[in-house]
Amino acid sequence: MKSFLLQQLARLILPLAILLGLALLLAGHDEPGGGFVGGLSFAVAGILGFTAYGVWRFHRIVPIEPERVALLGGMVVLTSLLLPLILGDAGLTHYHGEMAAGPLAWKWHTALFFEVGVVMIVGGGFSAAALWLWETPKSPGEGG
Amino acid sequence: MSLVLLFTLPGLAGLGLWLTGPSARASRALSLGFGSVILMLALRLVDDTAEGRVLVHAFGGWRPPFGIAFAADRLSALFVALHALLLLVTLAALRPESHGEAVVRRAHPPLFMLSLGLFGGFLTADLFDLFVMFELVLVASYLLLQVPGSRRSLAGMLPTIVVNLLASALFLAGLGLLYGIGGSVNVADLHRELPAAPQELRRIALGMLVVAFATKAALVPLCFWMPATYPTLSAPLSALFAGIMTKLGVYALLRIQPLIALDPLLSQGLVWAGGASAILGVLAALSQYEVRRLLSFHSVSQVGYMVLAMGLASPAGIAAATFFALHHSLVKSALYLVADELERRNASRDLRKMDFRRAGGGALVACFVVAGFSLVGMPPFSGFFGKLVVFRAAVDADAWAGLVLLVVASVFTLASMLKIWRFAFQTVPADSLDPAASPGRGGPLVAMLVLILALGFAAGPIQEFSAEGAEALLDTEVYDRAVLSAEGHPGPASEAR
Repeated sequence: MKSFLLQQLARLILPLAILLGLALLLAGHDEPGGGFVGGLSFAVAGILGFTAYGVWRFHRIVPIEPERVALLGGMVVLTSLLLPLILGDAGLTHYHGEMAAGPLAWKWHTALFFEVGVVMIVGGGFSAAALWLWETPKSPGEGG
Repeated sequence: MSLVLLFTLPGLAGLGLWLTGPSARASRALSLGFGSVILMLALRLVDDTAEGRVLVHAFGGWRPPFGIAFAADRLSALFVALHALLLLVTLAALRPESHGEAVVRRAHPPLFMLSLGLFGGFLTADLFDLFVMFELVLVASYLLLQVPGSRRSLAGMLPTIVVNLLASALFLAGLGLLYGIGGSVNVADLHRELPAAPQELRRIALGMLVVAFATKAALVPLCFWMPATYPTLSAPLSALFAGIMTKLGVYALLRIQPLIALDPLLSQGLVWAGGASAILGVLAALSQYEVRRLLSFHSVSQVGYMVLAMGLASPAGIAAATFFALHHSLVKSALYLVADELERRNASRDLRKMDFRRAGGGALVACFVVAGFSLVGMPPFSGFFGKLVVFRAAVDADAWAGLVLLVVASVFTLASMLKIWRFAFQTVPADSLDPAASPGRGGPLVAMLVLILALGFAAGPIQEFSAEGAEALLDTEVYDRAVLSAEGHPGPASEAR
């Protein structure tokens, strides 16, 4: 399904969706937002991408299967659950602080690592699920 | 520590196997390795909780009424160990040579995801977390149930998905109501808050939870999704499903027993629903000719025993329900494994087409006889002790009507086992062609056989363990103190921002 209108719209929406996803992810730890909604935004970008340009081009441009992104995200989440145990704290404990390098100063929070995992699960998972539905071959006997 | 490991290890194993996608043989070896480690962790948990200690892990260092905590008491430990055992047997029974390489490779990762969800459900002390675990288990079971391009699997999946989603929605709604009246979804906190809550609201909220859990446990009249689903799975998987999936619902019902006990009407409802399940389930089973369908209607009947026992709202009833759940999981898994062998050797699911000459001998017959007799409740097998404690609890609670229903159901159970025996092990159908039995392996069957016999012979200590667990469950004192005094921040309110 190639549609001129959809492709032009996708050119507009795709970069915005990706930027929105990033912004939501980074805002998450002290303002509204977070990994889940950020991930949904990435999933919108992914799904729009292969609907507008076709699965084949999607696979050529995106170097990694969405399914694998989700699985790696799961690993990240479970790791962030386990890592504090090594430091003797409860699982999922997070640490935060501030860092300064010359004129630059920024707050860091280990919850971001966890949230990146969530983004990967949600973004990758939803894209993968949509891709499975898209790619399911219709065998003759099954009729649909 | 061990609680977190029990939860994360299956997750890492499942994700890792899916990501790396090793060959069927390597995947099986790795899975067996992970399964053994998980079993060791689970057995250690049983040992750790045996003295009545409650292990608590407050995630993120947030103290429980505010944060989410895992807590393991004797009840949790028993169910965790049960699933770890069944997982290992299932992994051993799932062989590339007999079930196909693709099936085996596809099954391993979701199996571990399923274990992660089940362990999380058995260990959590937070009802909302329990809901999340229910969903994780459901997602994993969708992954296991779907066989690409197969009509039969789709037809079996649809009722499961629809019914389970509805049950989940009801669970969530009930949880919201419970939070509204009790101000918490933490089990320990609810033990303290709910007795003071208005009775009608409490009854509605808990009633919604009970209906949702009863659906998951496949209780009459909410059971019809299950017999449609399990027979579509490849057999060792359906053995695991039959053994453990309904038990998550049973476990959840047990976990909220101290809350249900506040309301005699709900307990009474459980007794009647349990009795109806026991008798209607077994009648439905008697009319089936597909072995696995017959067995899954049987599960409906057996869950009835457990629910009736816990509805008695006495420590003896809870203990009986716990022991019966252990017994039923092992026996039902064994019977499913037998059914799998029978179906493969006869190349048919239909009892009427089965030829006893193809059933082979040895392990298969022995396993069927032991598991079948155990299900019926013959001494010295586990089923005898299971039924004995259930009946005794019913007598103690003066639930004579329930007792009569259960005894009648037991007679029909015997009849349905004899039906399988007659068709599969005694008769030759008129159009039988080739009597040669294809060879199968008896390893997992023998393992299940040993487990059932062990449960029968160790019934004393295990019943003592579950009786102490039941006392502690209804008393709630130790559990509450352990959960609510877990180390951690005092709460978000008092922390300087």
